[in-house]
Amino acid sequence: MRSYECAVIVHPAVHEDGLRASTAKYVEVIAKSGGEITKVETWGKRRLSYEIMKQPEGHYFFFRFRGATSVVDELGRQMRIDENILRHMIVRDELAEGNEPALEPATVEATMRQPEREPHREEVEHHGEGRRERY
Amino acid sequence: MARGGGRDTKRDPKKKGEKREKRPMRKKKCKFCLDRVTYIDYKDERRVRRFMTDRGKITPRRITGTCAKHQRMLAAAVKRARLIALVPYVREYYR
Repeated sequence: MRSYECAVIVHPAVHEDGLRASTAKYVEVIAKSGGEITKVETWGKRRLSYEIMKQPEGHYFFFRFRGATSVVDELGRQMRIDENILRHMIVRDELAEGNEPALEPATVEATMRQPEREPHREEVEHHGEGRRERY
Repeated sequence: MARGGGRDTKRDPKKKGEKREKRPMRKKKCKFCLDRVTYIDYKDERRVRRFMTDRGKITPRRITGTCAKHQRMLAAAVKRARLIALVPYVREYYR
């Protein structure tokens, strides 16, 4: 059993019900293949840094769960099939302690968590490209 | 950064032939070490972006002063953030 985090970008055209349905679907996939869900988070609709399948934005979801590699395989396989999913990424959850309480699959709802603030252009430090020859 | 020698040369024009004096650069401290960071989260877009150029490249260690260990963690975080479109792979035209 290892802790994982799965980041998902859902098609922007999917509406609330659809989002809830797909959250429920993947929670079930994890549970059915023997995993334990510890947290589901969403950032809502967000602008993408680059277009994916011609879409400039998408709904962000994060699933945190524990499970064997078979859970990861199955979740990835299902997500690759789903056309509403623009992109998914499953990585090891380095922040997990491994003892978070498992949630009841039937009742899992995605909690909204907006990242504190969108980064402003001014805040990005400019180290400047094209000045390289000085080094 | 390693410029600003211009003013010095203007002040002392007779030493034209001489090599511009190299001021010892103050050693930069790794920002992550100062905060005792043990993991750089790819979801922390603002932090990750601070270590990228405006074209979307990862800024080299020699510029940011990041230590080797944290630079590796940072690189991993940037690459993950790119995959889920939080930060760009390239930005060809900016401004």
